[in-house]
Amino acid sequence: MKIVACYSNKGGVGKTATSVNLAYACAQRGYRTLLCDLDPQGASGFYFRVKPSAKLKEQRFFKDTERFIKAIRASDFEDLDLLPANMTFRDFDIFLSRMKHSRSRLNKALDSVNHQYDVILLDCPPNISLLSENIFKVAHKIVVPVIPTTLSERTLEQLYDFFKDKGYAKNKILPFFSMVQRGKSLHVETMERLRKNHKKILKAEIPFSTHIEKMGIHRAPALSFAGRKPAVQSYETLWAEVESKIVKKRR
Amino acid sequence: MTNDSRQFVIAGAVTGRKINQRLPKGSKLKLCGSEPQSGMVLDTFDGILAGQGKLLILAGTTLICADVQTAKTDVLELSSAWNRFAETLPECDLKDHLVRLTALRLLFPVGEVDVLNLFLPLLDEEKKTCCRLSGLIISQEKQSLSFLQTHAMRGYDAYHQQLIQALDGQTGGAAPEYHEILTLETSGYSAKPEIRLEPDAPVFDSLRLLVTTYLNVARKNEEGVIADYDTEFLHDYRVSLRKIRSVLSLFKNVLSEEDTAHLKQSFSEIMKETNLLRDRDVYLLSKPDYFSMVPPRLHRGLETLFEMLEEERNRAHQAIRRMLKSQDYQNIMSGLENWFGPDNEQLRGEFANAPSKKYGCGLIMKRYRKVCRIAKSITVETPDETIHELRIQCKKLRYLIESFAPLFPKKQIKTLLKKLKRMQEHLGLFNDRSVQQVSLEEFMNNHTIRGKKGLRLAESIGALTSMLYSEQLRERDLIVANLAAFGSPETRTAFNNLFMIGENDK
Repeated sequence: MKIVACYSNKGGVGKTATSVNLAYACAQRGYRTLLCDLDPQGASGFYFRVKPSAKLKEQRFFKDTERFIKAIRASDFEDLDLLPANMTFRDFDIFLSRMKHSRSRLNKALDSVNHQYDVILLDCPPNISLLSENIFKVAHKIVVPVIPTTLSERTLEQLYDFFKDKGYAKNKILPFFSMVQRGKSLHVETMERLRKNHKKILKAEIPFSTHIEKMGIHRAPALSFAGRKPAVQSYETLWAEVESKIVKKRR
Repeated sequence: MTNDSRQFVIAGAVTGRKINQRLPKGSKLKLCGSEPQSGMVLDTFDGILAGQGKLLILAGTTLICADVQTAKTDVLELSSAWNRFAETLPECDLKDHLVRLTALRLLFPVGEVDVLNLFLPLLDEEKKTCCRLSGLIISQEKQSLSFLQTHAMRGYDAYHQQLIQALDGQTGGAAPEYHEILTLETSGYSAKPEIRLEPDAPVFDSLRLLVTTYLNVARKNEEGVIADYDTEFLHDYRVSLRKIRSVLSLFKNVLSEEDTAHLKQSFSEIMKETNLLRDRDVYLLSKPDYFSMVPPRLHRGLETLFEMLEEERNRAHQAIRRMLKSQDYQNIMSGLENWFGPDNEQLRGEFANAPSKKYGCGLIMKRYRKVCRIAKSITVETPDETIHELRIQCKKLRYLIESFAPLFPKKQIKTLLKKLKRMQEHLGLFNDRSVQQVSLEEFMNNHTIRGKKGLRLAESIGALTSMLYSEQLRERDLIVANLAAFGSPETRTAFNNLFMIGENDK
């Protein structure tokens, strides 16, 4: 089982759209996928029409793994399940560490989740917190959407610095350009500059697209209702690239 | 990712609208229209699938197998034209299942139906899918049968339960009898029809009943042999004639000696005509086995051999076709039917009036003792002729037990026959291997092919013959090893319990 986080310390960069569509693309490729909505706003769940579970607000929730498993909901799509949002992140640490070190202290219930999924995607809240730090530790890869603007450039540099300070593995970070408008020279120039400085930036880029915006109306992954639009298809390209990184790591 | 699911078979057409009326507020099946497709129900000549409660339907290029007992449906998409033999289906579980059931038989169309595919998601208030209902509605005129399956989704058990409850309200409890709902043109044929013998009835009457029953079985296969639908028609035809012949020769002194001789000869002559075709059928059916017996470099020669065998087979079939259609044959058969008819006052043999059960027990015990006597004498050094003699005696014993089987408890007869069959299996293979060697030799003598082709053919036949010989030796060893089990006190007691009592009755 591989854990892929979708993270940005800046809001409004298309993070949830990315999580939802990557999870969809991943499941379509036949991987049993669990998308965990860690963002308290619960947007991932909204896109899958899954009602947030009241039970999830309870404390110590993640210590009680059986109840955690019970909160998982099937999406409308094959091989794709969802853990709806509204959780206390303090306990999520424990959950994540157990997932990661499944062989040592994992109890039976959690072990079963471990074998039920090939890929777990985490839709993370947009801040640097104790939760995000734990995510940095457990995730095999961290996909970071970057809008090619000066401000986003700064945020990405901050993230790299933070990783350096804390001694986290920098190569986990997989930035990619999000909401790209090729008509804007600022976007094009920023992308050129950033690619020169950061070789790890993924080749795939997600254009700004009204089809992606329409996800709120359809309440479904854009790939499921506008999968033939080139802008939307770029999520598939993005997933293929991420997948190749996980597979490579496996060898 | 829950795989929880429940299956339902419901008499009548179950629509999403009907189920929605039974669902609580807030959950509704999404109604999606789909067009019915016309399909053909398939079954073997002897109705094997109907007997197993299976409904096999070919609708366009889709093959559907629905099970009335379990409500499970299997679907297979066919990519190319299909000759309606299970064996030629693409590899899959459904194929394996159908091959096990229908073996070598052709699947005939037995009725026309309409097939409607259902796939309905159950939605909550947010229009989120919470479980699914899939299935098939099979209809014929105004009668329908619905095969439905629910699919639970993780985290939505409550909705799944709602759907199950709504469906439970529609079923009538027991699985519906699909024969009562759909009209299918089944032949009603059985290779082993139930025969009701009376223990105290004169054995003459029993003999007449057995002969007329099997004569009828044989006649029902004629059309299939002529049309060459599948090889089982000829096989069943021959088996029933062989049964008649053995009844005639084993039921001693029931008919007059003259009549017995005359009748036996009539049946033997018909049988003889079919020998070549059956022999070639057997070769062709086990073609893959023969290829696996010899090294690949000899396969070209074997190809030539099988091409020639197939040509011979087709010629043999033409000959039998002509025979079965001839007036001569029709006259002989109706003559035999009349001979055994109720109005014919035949000359009777000395034991014609003996009570059937007592007579049968006597014959069986006598034959069993004979088998035991030969079996006891067999060692590693025994000549092949004795083994052949044992095979013949076992065969006779088997026919006797089978003929009188209706007079005895089914279960006990079955156990006994099982033992006998196990023994016969090796004896049969031993004989087959030896017959095949002779028939290959004959084949070589009858066909002279010059040049390289002939050389290759001779080479492959030579290799095959030596393989057959070593298999024959192996079977011989197995026979010797299995003899002990057959002559065991346990088997002896079983025979005594079943047949001695009858023998000593009265």
